[in-house]
Amino acid sequence: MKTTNLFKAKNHRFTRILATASVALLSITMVACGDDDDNGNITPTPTPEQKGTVTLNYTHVWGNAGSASPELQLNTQLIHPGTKDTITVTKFKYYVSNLRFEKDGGEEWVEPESYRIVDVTDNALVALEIGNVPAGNYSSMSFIVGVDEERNYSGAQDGALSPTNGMFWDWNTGYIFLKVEGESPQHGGFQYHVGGFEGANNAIRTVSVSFSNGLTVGDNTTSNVNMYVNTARVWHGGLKVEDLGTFMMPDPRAVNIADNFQNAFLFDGVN
Amino acid sequence: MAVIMLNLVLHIRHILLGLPLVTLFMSCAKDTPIPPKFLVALPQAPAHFPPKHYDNPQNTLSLEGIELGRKLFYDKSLSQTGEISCASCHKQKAAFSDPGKAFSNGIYGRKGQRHSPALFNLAWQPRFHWDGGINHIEIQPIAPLQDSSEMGMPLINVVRVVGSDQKYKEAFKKVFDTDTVTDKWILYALAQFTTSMISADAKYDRVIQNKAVFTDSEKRGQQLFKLQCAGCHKPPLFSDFSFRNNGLPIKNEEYGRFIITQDEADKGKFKVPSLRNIQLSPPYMHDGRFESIDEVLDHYIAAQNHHPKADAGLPQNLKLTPNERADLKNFLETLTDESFISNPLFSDPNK
Repeated sequence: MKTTNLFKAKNHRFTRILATASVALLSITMVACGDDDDNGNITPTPTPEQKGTVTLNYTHVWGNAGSASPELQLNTQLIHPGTKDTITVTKFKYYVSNLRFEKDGGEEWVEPESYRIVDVTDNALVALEIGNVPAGNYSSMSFIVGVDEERNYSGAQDGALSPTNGMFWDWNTGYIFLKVEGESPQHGGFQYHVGGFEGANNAIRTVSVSFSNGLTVGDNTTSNVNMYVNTARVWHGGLKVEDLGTFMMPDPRAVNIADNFQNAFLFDGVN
Repeated sequence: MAVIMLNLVLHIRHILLGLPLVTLFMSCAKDTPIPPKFLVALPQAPAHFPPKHYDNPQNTLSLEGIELGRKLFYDKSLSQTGEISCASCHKQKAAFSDPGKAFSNGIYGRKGQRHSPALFNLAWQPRFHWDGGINHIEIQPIAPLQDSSEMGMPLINVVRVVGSDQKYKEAFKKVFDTDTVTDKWILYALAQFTTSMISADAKYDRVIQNKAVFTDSEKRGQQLFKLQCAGCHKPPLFSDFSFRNNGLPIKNEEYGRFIITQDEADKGKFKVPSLRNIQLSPPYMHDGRFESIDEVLDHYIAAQNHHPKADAGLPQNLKLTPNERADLKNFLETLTDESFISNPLFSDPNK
């Protein structure tokens, strides 16, 4: 899962080389990169200095109806739309990592050091600011809910990956990808600490979002991607609170929740 | 007196090891007297050791970094009560184990759940703890720091304590060129210290280096060892760092590796410990149930009968005559590294 902040094909830096380098150097570079355009056409693309910001707006709701679903309120009794369980959520926290923005034709921008924690508190809306996105038109994006395998093996790390964020198991190395805690009158307290990056208990899941009308990133502008996150989806498929109990290590129940939560993200629009 | 002599000899060896460094230092400042700490060189692995497992190019080893890690290792203020340091349960004189204690005492006298392991040659270990739950040496200290029966200190509080200490701040600035002390830098410094704790100067090593010779009894013991023990306790590190069921009856639902992997096949498996410095670090096994090497040998003589899932690599039909037993123990004694347990690089900086 090595990341690079260059376009994999037809990248911007490449275009600049075209404009400035000699023909001989150019041909060597092109052979070296192996990305020659078959038709010899150079598509005009913005210079690499043109970069914008994308704000990802995650609005956490309780239900699958987007804006028609109520916002997630912590510390409040909610009725699960499917199982009818009464559930009070006290904590809802997860990693969003390895962001990629893709263009039609497969060209993509991969954010370097892409690790953030979404922590739902009083506000159901959590906004993540993604800087230095090359200007252009994008058709889709993807991100991992959790932390890629490599960084679960990488020793001491800081920023969002610091173990002081409370999203790390100190006795059984690994990041907690999704932490959902709360209680229900029928069952009492519950803690779902979803993680695991190996074998059958691998809970790393990638979420892909298609922009129906595209996403334009301009130079020094901020674009918004708006999403609804259906937090009730954790208990999807008739999963009741008493079925899940509490778990704090890689576990088939964690895999179940990871599968559910992967489909909790509903694209709303861009602006 | 003998101890003093030994220490003197050791110091001389460190001085010799440090010669290139000293020369460098002298060429810069000829008239300045050399402070003693410059007489120490970075600990080196001998030629007969395999390549290290730990290799983080972002955490370049330096004497100052090792020294900073040592201060942290011996610092009691990193515990909730200010009474326990890493060194409380990992004492140099016992090859950094807790001599005589099956389970060590943490804060408020609380007892841990597993025997405190000896610490040395950690740079070669791929996984840590008896159950192998930790996959990287840099993050290993988080577990004992935070465990409520060990040091009981949330990592974020450790950062606060270290980060508010002016001396520490200066040291971190010097070693890592950072103005902010974060958990990453603290863990890097500790890893510099712990990966420097190389024990490779036992008689066994000196025999390999043609600086010493085994007695006849040690030689016979080595032959027995090769036949019966070396499959798991693989030289020169004297462990293959695998997880195996060595036939111990399970007590207190202590399932070892299974707790981490949830794989039934791993029930009762524990990490194979190195046998270096084994004479210095009783009691033995993950729960310290055996107080002597003789008890351990008695266990292996009967091990196949103890547990249906015992490892196939255990000694089969092991029988030892009194002479063979003495030979084996004499060989094991050649794994004791006196210079490691008296190396001033690893000793308490507060003394």
